[in-house]
Amino acid sequence: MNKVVVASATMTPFTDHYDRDIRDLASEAIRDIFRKTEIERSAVDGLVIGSMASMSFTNQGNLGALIASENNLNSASFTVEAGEASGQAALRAAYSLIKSGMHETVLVLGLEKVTDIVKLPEILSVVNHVNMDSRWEADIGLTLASSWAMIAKSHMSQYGITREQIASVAVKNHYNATFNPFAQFKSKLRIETILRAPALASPLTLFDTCAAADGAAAVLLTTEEKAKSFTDQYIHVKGTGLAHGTLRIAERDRLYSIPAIKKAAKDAYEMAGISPSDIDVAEVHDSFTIAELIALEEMGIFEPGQSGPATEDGRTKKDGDRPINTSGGMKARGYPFGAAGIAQVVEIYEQLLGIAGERQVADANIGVTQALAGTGGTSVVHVFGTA
Amino acid sequence: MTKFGYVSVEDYVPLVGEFAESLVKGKIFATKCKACGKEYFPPREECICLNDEMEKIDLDTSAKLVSYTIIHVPPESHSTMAPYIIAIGEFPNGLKTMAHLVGVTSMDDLKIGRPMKLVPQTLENERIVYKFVPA
Repeated sequence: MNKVVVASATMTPFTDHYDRDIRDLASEAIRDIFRKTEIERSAVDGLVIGSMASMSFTNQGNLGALIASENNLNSASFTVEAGEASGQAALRAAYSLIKSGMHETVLVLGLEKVTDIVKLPEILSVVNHVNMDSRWEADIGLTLASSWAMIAKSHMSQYGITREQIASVAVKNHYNATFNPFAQFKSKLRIETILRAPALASPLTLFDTCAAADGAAAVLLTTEEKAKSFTDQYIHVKGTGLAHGTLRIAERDRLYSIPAIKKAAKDAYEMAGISPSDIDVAEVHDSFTIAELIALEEMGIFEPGQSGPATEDGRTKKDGDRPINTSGGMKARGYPFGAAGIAQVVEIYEQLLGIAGERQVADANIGVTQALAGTGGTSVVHVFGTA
Repeated sequence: MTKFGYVSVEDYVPLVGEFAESLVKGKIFATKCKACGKEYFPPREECICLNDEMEKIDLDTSAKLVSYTIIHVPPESHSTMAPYIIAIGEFPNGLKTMAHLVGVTSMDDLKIGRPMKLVPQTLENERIVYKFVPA
């Protein structure tokens, strides 16, 4: 069977690109891939785009045809949408296209231009209606912040973790982002700043979540055989998992756990033949601080209830024993929805090749990415390896 | 005609229309599968067992508070309402739903397990929703 590898990776800076449009961001990422990779554009026979809500944000659909034609790509092109997990879902689709033998080389582009909408409540409405049950939950004025707030309260009461431990996720991710030239926020954040910030939905504050950001990220997927013809800088895609849970949060049995993450991780680990203790570095979904803590527990990196204390103790910092979100995560690297899932792969690509500069963790051979839509609608997990 | 929801655009769905009409009369219905007996609230028109013959049943609107949050940063549709409380309540049949919790006068009303009741509330512009109130 074909071994699928990531043979090139890039991203634009993630920030409020107020003066650039969705085409411009896409082109920058795609052009950078071809500038730094010894491959002809004609060799790329597929383009899969992960984008969450380009219609709502920019009034532009069918990005596949638009972006492919504007960049002279003669490839089969289409967009994948799975809410906030769109980028990682696109990666899974591209992987299966190559694994099946249908395509040999597929460019995967994560793309989102959010700030054409300038009013935060309008951005929230889009995000809520994409990722939540529109009729029964989003329409009543529930937000993702309030959903995560209820999850945080449930997790705190179940395991006795503290508000400070939850906030320490943001402190750590901001610290990591100070070493990432493409990050939106390259500034440190103090626990006190988070706790004293304006409330979003109790107990979470403004600094428990991300800011609006735009950006694009791209990775080139191909077979190992093909990759060898033009580069020695590639990593293996070893496993993929995708699972879903109910969109309606009220339907869940337990608010403090997210079964979709556990299922996606289990499937990806089994396919890759690894266990959680083999993971050297991971990029996980941290749209809200509490999301990272729950992801680490569902992924088996820490026991239930232990990710809060571990984060507070610095174990997940870039120089800790379980480095998590060395890029700065969505929280500080920035979170242009569809682009973020591919930016996670960009980080793991650099870590496993040992080219992550000041963010480099020691002896990184197995890296994992995890994405989530809403509070558990869809989760996607991928496992990457140096061999 | 009174429509269901704060901003829903799905007025054409018969079940949603009937649900709104029922709320206007002060009645809240759930649905029950005629084949396997599974109950749904909010109501559904088809069952996960693949049967689509459902009957309407009166919902026992007493509920226990499972969780809540106070929303300070609302979406556009609720921009004039914040801060407001959204709660999850569990009904005697084990089903849970989410709704605004109004009529809270003390912290006792926000204790987990606190008895509540689901009631219809008419909004402006001929719209109607359901909300929890402390019981």
